[in-house]
Amino acid sequence: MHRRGASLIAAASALCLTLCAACGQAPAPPTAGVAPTPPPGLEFVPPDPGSYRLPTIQAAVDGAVIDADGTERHLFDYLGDRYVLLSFIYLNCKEAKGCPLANANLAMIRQDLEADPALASQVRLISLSFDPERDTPEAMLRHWGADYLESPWDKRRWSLVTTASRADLQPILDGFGQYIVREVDEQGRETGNLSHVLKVFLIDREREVRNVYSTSFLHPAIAMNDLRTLVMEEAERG
Amino acid sequence: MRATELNSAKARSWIGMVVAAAMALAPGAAVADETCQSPYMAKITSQEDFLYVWTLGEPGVGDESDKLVTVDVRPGSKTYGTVINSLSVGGRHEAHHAGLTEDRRYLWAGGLDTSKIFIFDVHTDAAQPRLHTTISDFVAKTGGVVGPHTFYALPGRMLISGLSNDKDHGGRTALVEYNNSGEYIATHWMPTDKDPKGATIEAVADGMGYDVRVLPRRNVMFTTSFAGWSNYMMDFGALLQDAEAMKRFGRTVVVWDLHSRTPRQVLDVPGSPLELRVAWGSQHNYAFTASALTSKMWLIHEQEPGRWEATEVADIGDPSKVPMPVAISLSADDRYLWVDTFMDGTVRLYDVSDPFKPKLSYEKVIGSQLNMVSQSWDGERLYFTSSVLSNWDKKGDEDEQFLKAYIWNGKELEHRFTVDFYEQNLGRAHLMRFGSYSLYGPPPEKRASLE
Repeated sequence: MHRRGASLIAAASALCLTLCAACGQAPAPPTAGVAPTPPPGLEFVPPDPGSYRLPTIQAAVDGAVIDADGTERHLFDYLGDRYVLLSFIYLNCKEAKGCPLANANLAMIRQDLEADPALASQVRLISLSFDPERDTPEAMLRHWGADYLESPWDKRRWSLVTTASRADLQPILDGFGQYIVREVDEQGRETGNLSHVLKVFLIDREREVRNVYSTSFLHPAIAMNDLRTLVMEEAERG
Repeated sequence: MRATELNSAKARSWIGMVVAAAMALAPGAAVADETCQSPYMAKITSQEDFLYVWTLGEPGVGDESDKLVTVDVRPGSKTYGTVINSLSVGGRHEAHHAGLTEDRRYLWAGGLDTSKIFIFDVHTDAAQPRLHTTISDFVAKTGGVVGPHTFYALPGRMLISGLSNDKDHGGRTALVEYNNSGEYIATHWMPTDKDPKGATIEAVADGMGYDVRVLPRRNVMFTTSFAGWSNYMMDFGALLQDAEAMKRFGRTVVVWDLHSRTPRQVLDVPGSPLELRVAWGSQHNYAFTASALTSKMWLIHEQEPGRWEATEVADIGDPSKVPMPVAISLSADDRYLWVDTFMDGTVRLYDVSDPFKPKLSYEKVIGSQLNMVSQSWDGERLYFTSSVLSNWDKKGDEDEQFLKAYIWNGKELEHRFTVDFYEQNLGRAHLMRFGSYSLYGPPPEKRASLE
């Protein structure tokens, strides 16, 4: 396994370990080379790549973000040159089938991409935090590991981004339809829990959303087939 | 939920409800809604706060317009069992079914006659829904689909089953997808004998639509079949005398590949199968439907991986009397199926522990006519409404229009309240959906005090 890939996967595992107290499954230890806890297996064979269409659902939206490397960019800087799987997460998520599941799936997709370099070079994974106060670039980098910085930002297979403020974050959430509820106690203090429906967005090189995965359909085999379907579609268009 | 847990839940403060909401919105927990909703949707795990009733306007009744009626169903509330909000959309559109987006922030409600879709914001204040936007070009956008019926939440999208088309106003129709912002995505026409779209046809492919449900675990989607605009807008008495029109009813359940939206099988289910409910159990690869004209309960089951069959498993009432089963509701544990029959105003409870051998275990007359049934996730609270279609409802004194609430104590239904929709100048009560503050954080008055 590629060292950086192993590192990212290990980082995802570390995230699982940190956040996945209620998983009901033993989280993988945060050591390099250990695969994350897999999601439940599919009970069906997904349709072949290219045998179906993925109609455009909506346009992606832009917004000011900060990479875990500390650089301020726009979300559109990460879209357009590659096919993207964009996952909204927060580091303190405690829901077994929430952010840890999304992270584990992205880690497995990244692993699958290692076996298909031609496809891998056209794909970018993005985890975008919706908890800007706690998920600072430093915090995100700490969870993923320092080797994140070894690649040029635009060559990374998996980019970690956050925002400077809720004001910067909210238009992105609104644009993608990623709704969250900030839980508060009786005194009105935020508890830190953020209720949300898990969503991962498949975005093409025209910056258009072509699929939205929730728990039931978030599986590496389906995402890989969908990515290949988009590649085939673009090849057909010439 | 057991009774003690329910009492405990009732005693919880709103902050406890917020915790419930956190669980409700957690994707892993969102395996079901109040038993018959999209598995992608956040669910209400505790006591529902409100009932939204999509209501048909009636000439001479109130403002005569279709409206969304909100009823307070919070036990102990000063306004429990009463109408606390009525939001008219102006005009009569043949208000019929409605469905919530996957995050439950918006309620989409359709008109079968005008094909308009009204999208209500139910999250800003769950007690006071507001009209967010209206889709008025559904027919043009979809390539001629008429009669938006079922609204079924998919991630980021709303899946809508049509009933008719603008060419002949017959039953040929399609599934349609919109994004949650109300923008058109795609149209998937139903398979027909002439254009089966790769599906195998058991007897006939009528191209008709009605309900739509999914079983993502098996990558399967099901659609049922009813009739086109020319039938559902016809006076029911005249329809029964029209031999040609009576031939124009659906007799198919289509099994689709969910991911590719491709029809795989067209099953033969005579008598117009209407509502379809998918079992929840992790090993339960089946769904129930009921045929309105033949009063049969059907089991749609996976005979072997990828091959589904339709099996008639029970009579509903006395089919010779055409009781006309309409709405059905499957309990969260897949053990019980409630079945409403319109003509005799009766609800029947079947023990479907063995889905191939349903056993009638209870029945009760709810009113002179009966259509929809909705049950809470714990199965303890049931709500019923009366209207099927404006031109099919009974006439005169038998045209009762109501919302009735009951508690199921395990042996019988205990009446809690009735809202008379004519007495309240509202109209014809049709589809119900649950609302809850807990899905959206603190209720508005708490939000204000916290700020």
